[in-house]
Amino acid sequence: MSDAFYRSFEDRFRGSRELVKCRLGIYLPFVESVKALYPDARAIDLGCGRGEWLELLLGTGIEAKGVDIDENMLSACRDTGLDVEIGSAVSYLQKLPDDSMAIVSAFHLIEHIPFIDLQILVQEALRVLKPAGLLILESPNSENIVVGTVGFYMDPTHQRPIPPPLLAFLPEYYGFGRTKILRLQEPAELLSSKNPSLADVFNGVSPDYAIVAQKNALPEELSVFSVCFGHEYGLTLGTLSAWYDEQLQAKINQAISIAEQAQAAVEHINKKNEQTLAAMQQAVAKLDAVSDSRSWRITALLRWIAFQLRLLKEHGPVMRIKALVKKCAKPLVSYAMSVVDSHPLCVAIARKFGVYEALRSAYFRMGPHILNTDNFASPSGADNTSTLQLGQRAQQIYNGLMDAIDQHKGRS
Amino acid sequence: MRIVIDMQGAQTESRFRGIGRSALSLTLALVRNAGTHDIWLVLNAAFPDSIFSIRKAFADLLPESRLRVFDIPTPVAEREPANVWRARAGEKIREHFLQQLQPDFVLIPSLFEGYVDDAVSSIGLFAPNIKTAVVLHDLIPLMKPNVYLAQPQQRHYYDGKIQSLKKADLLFSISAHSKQEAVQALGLQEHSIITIASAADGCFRPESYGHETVSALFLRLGISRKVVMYAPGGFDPRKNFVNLFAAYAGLPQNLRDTHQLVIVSKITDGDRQNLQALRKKSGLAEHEVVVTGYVSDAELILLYNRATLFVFPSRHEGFGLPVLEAMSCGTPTIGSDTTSIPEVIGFQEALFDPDSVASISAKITQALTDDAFRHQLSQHGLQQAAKFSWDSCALKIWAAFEGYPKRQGSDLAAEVSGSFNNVLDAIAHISCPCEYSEADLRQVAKAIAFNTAAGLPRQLLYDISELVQRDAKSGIQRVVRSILLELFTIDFDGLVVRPIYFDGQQYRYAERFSARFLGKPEADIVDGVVEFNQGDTYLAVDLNAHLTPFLHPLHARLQAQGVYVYFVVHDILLLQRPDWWPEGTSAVFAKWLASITEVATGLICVSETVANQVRAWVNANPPPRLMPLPISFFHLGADVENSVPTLGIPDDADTVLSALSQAPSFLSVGTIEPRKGHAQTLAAFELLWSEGVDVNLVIVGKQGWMIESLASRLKNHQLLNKRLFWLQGISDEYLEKVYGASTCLLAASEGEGFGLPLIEAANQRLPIIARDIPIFREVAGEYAYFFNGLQPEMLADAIHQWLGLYAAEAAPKSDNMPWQKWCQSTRQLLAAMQISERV
Repeated sequence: MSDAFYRSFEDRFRGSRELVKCRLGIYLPFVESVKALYPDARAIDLGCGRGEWLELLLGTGIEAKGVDIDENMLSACRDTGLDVEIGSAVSYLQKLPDDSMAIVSAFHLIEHIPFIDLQILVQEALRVLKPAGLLILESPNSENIVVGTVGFYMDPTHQRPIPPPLLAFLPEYYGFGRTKILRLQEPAELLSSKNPSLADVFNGVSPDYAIVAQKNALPEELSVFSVCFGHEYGLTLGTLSAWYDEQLQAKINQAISIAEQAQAAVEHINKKNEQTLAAMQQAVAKLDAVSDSRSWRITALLRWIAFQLRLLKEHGPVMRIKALVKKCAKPLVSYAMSVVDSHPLCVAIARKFGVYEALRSAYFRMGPHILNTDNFASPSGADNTSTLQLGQRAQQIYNGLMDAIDQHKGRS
Repeated sequence: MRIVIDMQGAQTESRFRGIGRSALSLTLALVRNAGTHDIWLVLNAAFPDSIFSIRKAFADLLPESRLRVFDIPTPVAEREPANVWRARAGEKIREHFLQQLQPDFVLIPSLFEGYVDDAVSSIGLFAPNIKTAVVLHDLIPLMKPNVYLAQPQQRHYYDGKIQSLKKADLLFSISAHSKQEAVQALGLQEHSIITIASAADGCFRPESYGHETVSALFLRLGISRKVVMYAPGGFDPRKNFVNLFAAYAGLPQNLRDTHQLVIVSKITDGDRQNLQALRKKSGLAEHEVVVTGYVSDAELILLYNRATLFVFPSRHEGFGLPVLEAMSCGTPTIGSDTTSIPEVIGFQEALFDPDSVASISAKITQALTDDAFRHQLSQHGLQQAAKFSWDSCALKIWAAFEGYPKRQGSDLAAEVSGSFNNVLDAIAHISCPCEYSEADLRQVAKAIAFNTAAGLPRQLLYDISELVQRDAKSGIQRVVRSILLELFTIDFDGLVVRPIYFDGQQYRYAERFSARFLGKPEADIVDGVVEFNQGDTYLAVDLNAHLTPFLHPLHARLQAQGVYVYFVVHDILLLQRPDWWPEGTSAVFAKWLASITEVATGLICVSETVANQVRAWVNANPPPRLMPLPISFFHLGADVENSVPTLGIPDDADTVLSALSQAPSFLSVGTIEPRKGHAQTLAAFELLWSEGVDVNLVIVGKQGWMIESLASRLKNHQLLNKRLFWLQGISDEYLEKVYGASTCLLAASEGEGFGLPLIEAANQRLPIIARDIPIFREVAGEYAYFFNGLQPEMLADAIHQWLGLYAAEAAPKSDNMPWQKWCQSTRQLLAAMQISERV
């Protein structure tokens, strides 16, 4: 395959330099943590291609060198002044001294080389890296069904897809301290909406992934990286299909609950109707009976006298007379008080004749608030089921409001 | 001077936005600077959650009685045409309520409320004599009616507010520009408008952050380059995204490569889509514009601090709070040269023309490329921001109130006393295209009743639901009755005791029950519906756990309305030892406890031991509430004669009593249930009997639950009625005689809330052997002999030893054990609710 072909292929399918650089931004927190630990950190990028990663590293102040077997790609790097060399990844790595690099990376390289070379690459990287140094390997994610069945094979130079757990196992096996899988480039709206379609289940899983493996080091050195390693990246097939199931189930549940509510409502209405009918029949019968009973009306006065006599017996004559006087005097006193108080002239006259103070003290003896002390309110309203919900004062206000509305209607 | 502040701006949807926050901050500053003046806050009952947070904010600054809650018929949001009648009625009801507070001035920090939720605000629609001041934020809708008032419903609502605004006696504008706008658009007098400016909260200040904090947030938000920040506070057209995006797209490539435009604001899905479409159209790549969505205050402050540049291209503002916040953090800030923004920025060099893409672009480029300029912006911003503070706003307002001409002649008090029917008349006269319903009128009546209750005596509403519905005569109900009896005898000043009960739908006054209880005629009494008023106290001594689902929302509402809600907790054994009760019982109790810890003003336990246990439970299960939950305790009374004792002596009493006096008799009192230790007691006595010790065991108590095998052992015991006596369901009168015939009280219970039998024994001068648990220590102290261990042998040993001490007259005597009567106990309970203080 001609070299020029691959360059064009890259441009078409890996995306523009800008896009690629933007995507690489996800590794910045890792890179900044490395920089925080090793201010003079050096990095090597295997299969550096057009050099987007090298540019990004240089931007953060890390000295970075690239290696690639494709001269056509390298010339583009040299044009922008990047430090690159032609060579194969594994053999170049083997030449580097121990503990010399802070980052070893290979983006979309490992799917191009035999598995045995990948094993060597991981072992050599471990040797070359400084303590807490990072090995970053990025590759297509065959967990994405479309990538695993079609996308991966679009590149004729690809050997075989490497599933994330297999790749993550390698550094673990060869003695790296910890390994993190980063699933990458999933559609952002899927992550926020959590509402995938079936097509999303097939094609929405992060299409690329990477492992970031870290060489063992002192705990305080490792702690610098705890945020990056703690963060969860990307979308798995399991999550996506679980979301799909959930939203389907939610729709089903909603449908069931609407059906149940409708059924309950119908039952409730039927029951209410029966009750209303029964109550109406009862009420009609009662009403007929009472209104027919002339004796009830004739005995009203008798009943009142009997009630008063009973009160007289229970409370004694003095209390009853006091109560009756109070009942009659109260409206009179409060009326007199309001008339007098609203006319300054009346106040003056009343003062002159010495009755003002007497009136006032009588008024206040009757209680602090006319509305509150009115214990003689007719309980007739309580028989009316439609006003059952109101307390005594609210009921009085309600009655007043009805009067005001009637008056207003009468006038207009 | 009495200033009444309408807090609805800090209650509605506005409270999540700048207006609500500034209403709260301004009010806090007014309270701080009030000097000898009185401040009253009025709160709308339709927003219960906000009432709690406002109460909390002013907890240490104002007495609770200065926060007055008012009620209105709901819903009133004027967005719905069907709500308009209620809105008009609500306006009159609110003004009527304000009138009764007799304010020298009413201050409305946010007038434009009630379009989307249940707030009402108006001026002079019912009470034209109330002096009213309004904080004027802006008149943007009036200036751009085709954008903001396109709907007729909006227009109608806004016009109404403008009519009110014109009636205000004073306006406090938040910028000189707003003032000018009001003078020009409304034709108002210059002298009636005072510019008070606005302020940013103190938390906006320069901060340094660790690498990890920053990268964690940037990673989450997708920020990977230097930040050019805009916090627009909304997405309407005046926020000028069209020109901002075009200007950003016009920046030199090297600046675009190294920066991201970060838009920080809560955003709806619709706005986000529109913004993304505009971004594409402007030629900006997806990664160049980050839209954060909602961020917390702490995150917002971090973003201000870490932004390289803050840009504010809005075309029209009343003030422009984000600009001040950014400058307060020392962020280099540039902004539009229109409306109020230049006043806030106060630096000609930092301004650009928001209508010119080239001008915006050039200013951003200058700021991003010229380090010295950026430094200058930052330094100037900090100096400028220091000129704005809430205290300075508040002082301007106080000065305006103090300098306002005093009211002449007519006294508000006189208006108030006659105005009760006026408000009803005013409501009857409302003319409005939509109809009112019966339910609306009743809501109106209820609201007015609630709003006018301030002059009434406060009520102590004593919940006796269980007693009214069915008196189970359990221990707790004895407590309820004893306290009720005491409450009736106490003469309160300005407070009335009203027993109440829940009838399944609402609370009613227990008038009939009270009459019966006090031996009065009950025939013609009707139990009216309870009217709860602000400042009332609700007290539940009984445990209505089965009613929790009904009562919880009711109690929550009561607390929001300013009713003090208290519950007595007798014990929490159901949670500590669910195995002592039938399965499922503890779940009901747990719900009740969770409910009351959420809605109570305070909990009052029957002992210090229980109070400590409840505190521990609350710490482990913090309830969802803002205010702390005070947990106190009182001790129960023990005078039986006041507990309305039961009477009756059975025929075989003499035989039993004489049998008991033949040998040392140990008395165990209490329902037979798992926790009471009866099984251990019986086994211990069987050991003693087998050793030939001459002792009797008397068990007084009904058969309870989960003890069937023990009950059958007792019933079929060969020594039953010889050495072992089991007396079930006996009267208080007979029990007193049994106490008299016994030698010692044996309190073997493993868990109690109080331990009344110990006091009853002391009352009878009967010595006590008690299990060593905290509550028995608390009640009996040094006046009992304590034992440990759950094995029969250990109790048998203890009794052996006690008998030795007893013979030597060295057993602890209970005669001087302190205990109190119900009259003392009830007063302790009232003190725990601060009833005496609030009289």
